[in-house]
Amino acid sequence: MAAFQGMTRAEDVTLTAAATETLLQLVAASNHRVKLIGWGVSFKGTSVTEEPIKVVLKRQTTAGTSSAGTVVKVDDSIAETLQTASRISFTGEPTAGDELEVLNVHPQGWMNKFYPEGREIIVGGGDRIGIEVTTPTGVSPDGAAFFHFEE
Amino acid sequence: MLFTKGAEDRGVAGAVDAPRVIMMAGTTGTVDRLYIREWSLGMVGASSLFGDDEYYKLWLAVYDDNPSYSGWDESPYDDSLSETLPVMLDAVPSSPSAPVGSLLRTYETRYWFPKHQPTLTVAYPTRSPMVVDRSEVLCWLVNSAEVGQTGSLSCWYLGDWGG
Repeated sequence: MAAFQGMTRAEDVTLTAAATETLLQLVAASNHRVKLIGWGVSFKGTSVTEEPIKVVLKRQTTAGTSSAGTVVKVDDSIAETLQTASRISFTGEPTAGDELEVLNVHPQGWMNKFYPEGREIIVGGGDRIGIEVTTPTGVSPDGAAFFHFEE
Repeated sequence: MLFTKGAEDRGVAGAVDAPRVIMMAGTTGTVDRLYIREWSLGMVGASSLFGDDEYYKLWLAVYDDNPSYSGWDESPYDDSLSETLPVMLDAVPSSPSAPVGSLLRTYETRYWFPKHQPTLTVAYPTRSPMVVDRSEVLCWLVNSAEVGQTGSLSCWYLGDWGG
């Protein structure tokens, strides 16, 4: 159905220094494209002088080596089941696709973004989108991320 | 019908390795749904109050019951309206306590570092509010295990009740 919204999240992801890692991936079901309404990340670094972490919102074409995440309905009164899935706990990186947004976030910082209506990013049926981070040398905080989406 | 609700200058103890509800939204009835359109948290205190590695873990979760709290009365955005809001759960505890009831779902998790991020505000797009269904309670929870001292919290949410 349309206008069926959900959320998924990753938390307590221990990042490795000087590495590129996916925090969270959203997987649209076959023939069920998804609107990305919003997303966000936060980190818990330990020093004010740490270099920023590069955060990339990008399309991905595989699951890499990961585990299934949890998706929840935003409106629990809807009887239907969300078709969209998520992946967390990556130990192998997915195959990268197009980069959509890139920004630098301080390891003691956070960001969230919600798109204006009509300007949401579309994830095609069966396609994937992920939040990928690249940590500088010596920077390895825990990270958390979320997606807010609509089927 | 838009309204705000929240509280000011409430103490949040540090070094508590357990969920503590710092704000909640819901109604006392069983027929009313709420939409949360915006929320904000701010911690009062000197910048030196928090160390470089002292974070609150903050998350939004929905339960099927609520503890008893006190807070602002509802403040409608348009005070020319003659309608009255349903009775809302009071929003904020005088002392944050454990959630009550069964956990129904968790929306998102953030690490909140109050030294550098004194105010956290989230505004959802018009068609994408957080939904609090009938007989549900949306809770803003923190775990302060890594925080060394008591902080003073002010918080509010913008609710929308459609009857």
